[in-house]
This record gives sequence, C-alpha cells and structure tokens, in this order.
Amino acid sequence: MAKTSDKIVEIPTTWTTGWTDIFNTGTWRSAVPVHQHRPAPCHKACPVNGEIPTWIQQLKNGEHREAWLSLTANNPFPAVIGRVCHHPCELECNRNEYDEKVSVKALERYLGDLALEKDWKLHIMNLSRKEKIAIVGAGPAGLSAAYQLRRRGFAVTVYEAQQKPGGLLYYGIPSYRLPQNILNGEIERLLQTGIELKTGALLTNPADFKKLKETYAAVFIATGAQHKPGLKDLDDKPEYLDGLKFLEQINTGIPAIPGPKVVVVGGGNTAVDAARSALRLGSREVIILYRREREQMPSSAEEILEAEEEGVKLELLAAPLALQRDGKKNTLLCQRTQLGEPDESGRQRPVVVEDETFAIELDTLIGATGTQADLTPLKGLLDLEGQADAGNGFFAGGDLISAERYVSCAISAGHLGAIEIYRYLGFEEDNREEENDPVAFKEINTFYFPSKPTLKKYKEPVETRTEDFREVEAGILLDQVVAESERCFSCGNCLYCDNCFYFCPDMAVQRDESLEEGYRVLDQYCKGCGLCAAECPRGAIVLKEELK
Amino acid sequence: MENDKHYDICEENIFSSGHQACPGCGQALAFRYVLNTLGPDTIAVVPPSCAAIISGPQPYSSMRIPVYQTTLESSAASASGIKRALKSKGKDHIQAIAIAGDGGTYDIGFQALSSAAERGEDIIYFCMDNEGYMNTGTQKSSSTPHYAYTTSTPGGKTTMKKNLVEIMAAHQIPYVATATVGYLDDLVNKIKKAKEIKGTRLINILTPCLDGWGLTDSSAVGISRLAVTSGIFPLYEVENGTRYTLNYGADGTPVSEYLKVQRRYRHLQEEQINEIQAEVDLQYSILKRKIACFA
Amino acid sequence: MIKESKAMLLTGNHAVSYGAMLARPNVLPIYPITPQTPIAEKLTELQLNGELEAETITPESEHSAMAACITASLTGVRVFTATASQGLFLMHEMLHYASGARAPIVMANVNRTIGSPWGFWPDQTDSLAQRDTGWIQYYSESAQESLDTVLQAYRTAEQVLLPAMVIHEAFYVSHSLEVVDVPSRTLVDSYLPPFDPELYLDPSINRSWGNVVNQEMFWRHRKALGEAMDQALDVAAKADTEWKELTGRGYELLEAYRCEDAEVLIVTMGSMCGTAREAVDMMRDQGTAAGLLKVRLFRPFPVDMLQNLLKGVPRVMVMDRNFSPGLGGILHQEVKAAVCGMEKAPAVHGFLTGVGGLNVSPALIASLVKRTKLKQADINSIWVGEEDGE
Repeated sequence: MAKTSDKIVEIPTTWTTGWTDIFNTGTWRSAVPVHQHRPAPCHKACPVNGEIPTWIQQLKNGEHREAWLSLTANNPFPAVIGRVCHHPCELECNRNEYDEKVSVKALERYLGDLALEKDWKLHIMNLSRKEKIAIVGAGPAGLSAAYQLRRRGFAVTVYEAQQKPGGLLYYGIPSYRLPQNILNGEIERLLQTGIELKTGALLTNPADFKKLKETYAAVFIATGAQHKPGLKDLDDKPEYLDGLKFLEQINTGIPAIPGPKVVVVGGGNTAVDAARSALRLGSREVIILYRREREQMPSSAEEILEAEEEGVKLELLAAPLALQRDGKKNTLLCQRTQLGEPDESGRQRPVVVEDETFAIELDTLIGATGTQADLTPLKGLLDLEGQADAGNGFFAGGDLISAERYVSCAISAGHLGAIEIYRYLGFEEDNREEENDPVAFKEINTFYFPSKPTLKKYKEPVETRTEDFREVEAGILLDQVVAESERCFSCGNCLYCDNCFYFCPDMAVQRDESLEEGYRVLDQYCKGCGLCAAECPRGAIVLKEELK
Repeated sequence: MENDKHYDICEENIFSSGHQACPGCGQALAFRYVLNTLGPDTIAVVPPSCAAIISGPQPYSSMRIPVYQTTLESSAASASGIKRALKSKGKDHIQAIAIAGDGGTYDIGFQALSSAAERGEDIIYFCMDNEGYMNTGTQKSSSTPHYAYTTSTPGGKTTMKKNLVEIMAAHQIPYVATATVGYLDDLVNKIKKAKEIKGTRLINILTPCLDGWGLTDSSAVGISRLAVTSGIFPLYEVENGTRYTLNYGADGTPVSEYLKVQRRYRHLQEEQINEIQAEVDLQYSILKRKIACFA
Repeated sequence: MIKESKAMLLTGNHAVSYGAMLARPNVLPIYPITPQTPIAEKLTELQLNGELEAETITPESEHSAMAACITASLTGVRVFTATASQGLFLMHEMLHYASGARAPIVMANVNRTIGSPWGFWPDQTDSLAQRDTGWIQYYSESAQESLDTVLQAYRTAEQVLLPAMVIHEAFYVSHSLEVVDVPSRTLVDSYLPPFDPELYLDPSINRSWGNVVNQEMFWRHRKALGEAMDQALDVAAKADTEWKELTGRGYELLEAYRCEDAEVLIVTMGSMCGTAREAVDMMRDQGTAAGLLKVRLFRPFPVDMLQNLLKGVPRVMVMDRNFSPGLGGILHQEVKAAVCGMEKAPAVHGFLTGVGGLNVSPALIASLVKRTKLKQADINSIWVGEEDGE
C-alpha cells in the first residue's frame, strides 16, 4: 500500500518545535532568594555563642556524640551550664510567640550528663605550639580560657588560690542545684586534656603577674570579684553571715548553722541560694528582703518560684536599717522603699518612703548584696577601660572585669580572652559575630510545626526537697529529648528539607551538593516570587532586592 | 504532620522552566506536580485559560508531553477523542488528560464533561480551580464563591460556589477528588491514585490566583492551606460516587482568617463573614455526614 | 479497471455508511439528527456485526462530536462523522478549529432546512453557510456518488491535510433507494492507503499543537491553509480520475453535460442536477441548446475550470436551493464572482429554486431557460415558486 509520502503539503508550522526553557523569565524579577545561614535568636542571646540549633538538630537525629562535640566547642561544661545557666536562649526562643519555648537548658543538661556517663573526651589539638600560657584563677572564666587555648594546641598552666578548682561554681552554688560530682567530673575531664593546675597559688600583686610573664607568652587573669561590700552597720553584728561565705562553708563541709528565723538581704542568685540553703540547714522562717520589685530581682524567676514553693517569703520594696535587740528577740528594722526614676542602667531606683518602717524578728541575717572586683593589682598591666589587651601579653576576663555575674558570661569571657591571646600570638581567627539579622518569629512558617507544649521537668517534691541538699531537678528522659528537639524551629539553619526545591513554580531552585548552601537558584528562570522563602520553615532564605 | 517531606514524583521535569505563568502562580505549581507525577506517557488537552498561556507560545511548549489546545467548552470531548484514538491504535497505556480552568469546567465545558463522565471515558480531568475567569481579568464563574468580588460582580457575587465535586460524584465515576497546592503530598497521592484507575477521573485543584484574589506573590501555598484548615475547601475523595474519604480538613480556623488576607473579600461586612462561616459550617457538616454514612 | 463490487439496494445515507466503513475509520463520534441518523445507525450496526472496527463515541452534542474528531484525527487516526442542519451549526466553531488544526476529517452532511421555523426539508443553506470554515465541500446528487465521494474525500483530505464534507440533500438523496455498486475492501484499500501522517500527538514524537501564535504566524498559517485548498483542486481531480480507473465511475469536479454550443448553461449543485439533466435532454430534443454544469466541488471553488467551461457561453442560469438573505442565491453570487473579468463574460441569471425543498420539475427548469434567453439578467437572484413553471 502506498504510504502517503507523496504528500503535497508540508507539515504546517503550528506543531511546536521546542520547550519554553529558552525563555529568560529571570528578567521579570526584582528580588532574588538567597539561601543564608542566619542566627537564631537563641544563638544570638547565648553568652557563650552556642550553636544551639545545630546541636539540637544533631540531638534530634540521634547523633548524641556529635551534638555534644558541637556543644563543647563553645562550652566545656554542658552538665554544669545545663543546670545553672540563666538561659537567655529560652527567653528569646521564637517558639515563645507560638506556644512555649524550647527547653534548651534541659537538653543541654541531658547531653552533659550523657557525656559524663559515657566518659566522652573533649576534642583538642596536640600540643603543637611552643608558646605556654598562664591562667590565673580556676573559675569558669579561667577554665574556659584554658580550655580554648588548649584546644588550639597551647600548653596551659592554671594557678588557683584555693585548694580546689571551680571558683564560684564550686564555692558559690549549692549542690541541690549543682551536685559536686557533676562539677568535679567536668573539671576533671577538662584537666585530662593536659592542662596543668596549680592550686593554693595565691597571686595578688602586679609583681606576681609580671613574674609569670617571664615564663609564659601570655597571662590571662580571671580572679573574680573577691571584694564583699557587706551591709553597712550590720555586717559586724554576731547575727550577721556573709551570703557567699555561708554557701562556701556548706560546700566545703563546715556549714555555719543559721538560726530558726533568717532574713536574707539581696535579690540575686546568692540571696536565693542562701535562703534555700538555710531552709535545708533547719531554719523554719526565711525571708528575702529586697529593695525593688520581684521583676527586678537578678535571680532567675524559676528559682525564686522554687524558693517560694519551699517556704521562703519575699519582702519586697524594703531595705535593712538596723538590728535591734528587744529582750530575747532580735529584730531587723526595715525601711519601706518605692521605685523611683530609672538609673543609668535603666533599672528603676529604689527610693525611701518617708516615715515608713517596720521590724522583722530574726535569729540570723545573711547579706547577699553582691561582690565587687578589686582591680588594684592590675594597675599598669591592663587597660581596664577597654576589654583586655594592652599589647603586653596580659589579659583579663570574668567577674574581675565584668558586671554580668552569670556563669555563661564568665565562660564566654574566657573564650574571648583565649581568642585575643591567640591573635596576640600572631594567629588568625575569624570574628565570631555574624552579620546577618537574627530570624524573627514572623519568618517561621508554623505550618511545619504543630503546636505542642514544652517538656515537663520532674522535680523533687516540695515536701522532701528541703530535707537535705539533694538535687531538686531531675534530668529528662530520651523520649522527652526526642520530642523536645523536634520542637526546635532551627531558626535560620537550613536542614536541607528541599521545600525551596519543591515549592518553586518555575523549577528555578535546584539541589547542588557542591555548594555549601546545598541549593542553586537558577538566575535564568527565578521570577522572584518568594514562595521558596515563604515555604522555608525556618527563615533560612531571604529575598534580596535586585537593582537592575 | 511531618516536618519535612519528600515527594515521590518523576524527577525529570515534564513541566519546563521558562513558562509564562505569573510569579508565584499556584496553577504553575500544580502543573509541575500533575505533569511530573503522571510522567511522559501522557497526552493533554488544554482549553483557552491560564493553562493555555502557561503551556507556552508557539513554537515552544512548557509541557514535555504532546498537548492540543482545544476550544473552551470541549476539553472533555477532546480528551475523549485522543483516548479513543490511542485505544484504537493499541496504545491504551498512554493517559489522555484535560487541564482546564474552572470557567472551562464548571461553566462552558460542563456539558461535555458531564457527557464524558456518563460515557465513562478513560480520561483524567484536572480542573485548575482559581474561582473565576482570571485569564480574562477576573470575571465570575460558577466556581466563584459567595460575596467574592470580580469585575462582573463588583458588589460581590450574590450566590454560592457550585459544588462540582458532588455533581461529578453523582455521575458515579470511579474517582473524584479535591486537592490543592498547599498539600503537595496529598496532590501527588491523588494523581498517583487516579493514574491507576480506569474510567473518568476528576481532580479539582484549588490553585489560588494571586492577582484575581488580591494576594502577594509568595502566598499561593499559604492561602491554599487556609482554605483547607478553615473548612472552605476540604481535601477529600469520592470513589464510585459513594465512598468518601477526608484527607485534610478543618481545624477550627475561622473563615475570617482566610477571607481577610484577600482583596476580593475586602468589602465584606462582619455579618457577611458570619454568613459565609455559617455556610461553610453547614457544608462541612454535610460532608462529614456523608463520610460517616458510607464508612 | 478492477471490477470488484457488489450491487446493493441502498438509500443515499446507507451508501454513505458503506463508504465510511470501507475507509476503515478508527474513531466515530456521532450525534443523531434527522435526516442524518440512518448514517450513524448503519455504522453502529456494521460495527456490531464486526464489519467495522472502530471506537464509537456517543457524545452529548455535535459540538463535542467534532471536538473528539479533531483530537482523534490529530492523534493520527482516520475519523468519520455525520450531521445535518442545526447540528452542523452547533459544530460551526469546531469546523474552523478542525481546518485550523489541519485535521483531515471526513464528515457527511445531509442538507436540511435551518430553523426557525422547524423543518426537515432539503435545503443547502446549512452547508453553504460553512463555506468559510476551511472545509473541502463536495455536493453529491445520488447514493452512488455519495459513497464514491466519501472515499475520494479521504484521499483528498489526507493529502492536503484539510477536512472534507460530503453533502447530499435530505430525502431526495438521503432516503431514496437505488442500486449501488459497493466496491470491495481490496479495491478500496488499494485506492486509499492507511492514514499515516508524519506528525501526530504521541509521546514518542512529543510535539504539541495549537499554542498561541503571533500575527505573522497566524498570517502564515492562514496562507498555508489557502495554499492547501488551492492544491486540493488538483488532488481532488486526480483522486476522481484514479477512482474512475478503478471503478469506471468518475464525476469530475465540474461536470459539463451537453454543454456544446449552449445558448444557456444551467449551473447547479446536488439533487437538482439530475432533474436539470433530464430538462436538458428534453430541451435539446426540442431544439434549445441548453446544457448543464454541475458544481460537484464547491470548496475549493474551481474558478479556472469554470471560466474555461463558460468560454463563449452567452448565458448562464444558476439554480440555488439555498438563500443568503441580503444577497440571494449563494451559488449565483459565487458564479457571478467567478466570471468577473472574463473576456465576454456570460450574463449570469440567478433563480432561487427549491428553497425549503420545493419540488423543481424539468418543466420548471425549461421555463426558466426560456426566460433566461428572453430577458436581461437581473442583478439579484429571483424567487421561483412551484407554480412559476406552469
């Protein structure tokens, strides 16, 4: 049969001949999506610069060891910090605006405890550098500096005036909050990295420091805030106990037993710790006297609540005036205060309410109104106006030069000091500050995160809690860890979920493993609609305006 | 819902970049999943619509399958012609599909669609439902919802949206479903399911029109999800006219959440919003009863 | 000449069904309408008997029937359908789409009056109103011719990639029985090769049809359509010649019957041709030099051929069984336009005869010839009733 090859007419022109991918629809756009690692608010708030979303994701994926290593890159004491940190990360957590924060601190403690249980070792470099570094003070700042320098391959010697390392961690925090075996375990592990520790070495004057400098390439001074101003006209009385001293005595096993009725003056952690410790030593009525309102108390809200649960009373807007003896009874005469104009720090100043006083019966008065640093030994060694480096190899950090009296701030100060020393010795290290804006809650696509409350922590019942110094808060369980880590938005941290790839109507986002960000936006096709950014669950894509 | 999903679709792009859909177009996204899920052994008909624009200007096509652009009212008949021709040639494994808009489906193409369904034509019909004649600049269709502004209903549409799915279910065809670009997993599952069934199958895909509804370029997916969670557009299937399955439904989100972000509803008074809420509640309860009835 | 056939007593419609069956169409989308329905009924009967292997589609309208025809054709198979009158009008949009798609569909149309008012009578206005749709149009006067034309139409349509309509009138042809020579399958298969287009809708070819064009492309597309129409003249002529070689039956595109030295040439289409042939014989017997020019192919309109045949003819008399309000008989206008510019162009008279199916007798034709000889040609078509021939 004849094929119709004798066709007379050519095939008409309306059959298509190709594909629309020849069109450059990228010319339509006025903005282009950029895959960008952006700081999470928790990370931004974390004093130690913790890569919180990173290790939480590792935790979520069951990579516990890796998570712990990420964590310890910035903080060698996760078990400690997981107990005592004031956790600004949780306050800033974007999830607060959705349902509840992610309990970062509990997760950190889980990893810290797990590492101690499994006896995981810290990652450090070999002793590869010829320079030796001296650290003065084995508190959190000093040990953090020692750790960071040791990680970078330096030989480090730590001089500590006391008999045991740990500084305030050891002497200032009661074991119901931080059990000593936990602290000792983490310090021991740190020292195992080859850090030399010399205890009982009291270095207090410039000459001591200068002498060190003859042996060491750099000296980091973190001797803390040792000066205790006390309470005017009260601290010489026999009923008076210094708060820090009180806590130190408890931890070293020779506690001063307070009377049945105790008044603690102050609003910080030491005040609350002292009040709760007094209960544990048998006191029956414990009152915290504070000049401002509850909201202004420097101690964490959670600890104040726990103290109240245990029976501690708060007497707010009050200041001590004098101790009076009335027969057999001691009373503390107190002045009523009110909040006045804000001071330079922005906190409202307590102002005396004229003619309004009252008395509280007591047996023991504990002063916990803070400490101050004594800077006299450092004169001539350090430029104390600026951070530390005066170009002479002396550096300082921690409570000695900072008013932020948080453990995590001290660890951060040690870390920063180590970096300064590192640079001082001629090595290069990038700034750890990120330029990108932190991810705001509105940039989170909550469709991908079902609403779910945060974990419930188990606490020792109030009835038995104050019998002794047993730890109040229990660690969390693995299923809680999994559930909680799944709640993390992982703000600004791409998890390669491929949503940007899947939701592009123009197939303009491609996976590309050769790129760090993992994706390539095809300039030729991307119309700049921003669907990829909208469907990024975690704000890791930003739309940047393009000028043409 | 799982945090991160991966979709089991054809990795080679049957839908090509460089197409002429508006930036962020919901329908273009639906195209991607319809075509890539069906794969290359497919022939499509497209009537005049946004879909026809997305298909590409001669001599280029955005669809890497053969496509014929038919008249507005003929999609189902045209797809029938292709399928019968394929059948007569022994190429029954090739799917014949129609991709039409709501105007071409609910309105002018309805007669042909109804007949194809009654004849049991072995085609998959995709209605890209953007609730109006959007390609001609936003006029009302019988899919336009109550009170929505269009240029032909400038005071808001006075009647309700036609219930296409129920009408098609009444034809007792093997498969009718709703889907949307807000739930790609569901969309892909439904296309795969439809592909395995013989006979007339229809998937009505809610594909938000950013310009026609008055939305920002990046909102097609989010608004689709609100349509579902507010109960306005539940995602469900009807098999053989009787077996109802709800895939994603209302979660208590008030309809006002859905309405307030769209310019086409900007003129609504509170009582009108309440009225819409009552209508949606009623329809949703009817749907739930059907599901229960045939369970 | 191969003589393989079977004589059957068939109506015009059934003859069309047999013609279609012999063409072996793959897809048959048909919607019923009087007086076309017997075509569809016979085809479904043949299919049920196993004599025809085809997918039948029974859609809800002629519009959908034609929509299915177009895509089936573009998918690379042969299709057939049939309609009449209002059905053809409902298809109107799709007729343009079919030719634009260059789909070589063959469709039978049974001429029937158009509403309103409602009627069922022979009248060619329905198909003539589709003259601009890009379809090839054949007008047939008998059952045999209709069968043969269906096969010729496929040959022509598939070579030039244009759809073709085979048209005969209601009842006069559609329902009149005559002995029809039905050719064998072997004969038809040797005449009509399988439809095997180079491009069609198929994943292995992966090309699309009908995407939006720009002005230039549209212009080119229409021009190409026009060129294909032009070429259809030769292709149709050859298809007729070859058919004649095989069967002994040829019809020409324009049939000249006893036109030699004619003083009056009758020009008409369809069933009136048979009557006119009788009238010509009668007049020739009576000494009047009348002749008949049968227009079988109306689109493309064979203008050159017509001019050649009209050379030296003084008078032409066009009979129209159709009416275009505001201008008159459609064939009348077409012939006037065709002779325009001819050297010594004939005077063209136009008569609206048989509109609505009125009977046109040989006597009436003779009287109109007489009138044509005596009177000046009127610029307009003249209404002629049954009594006008008395």
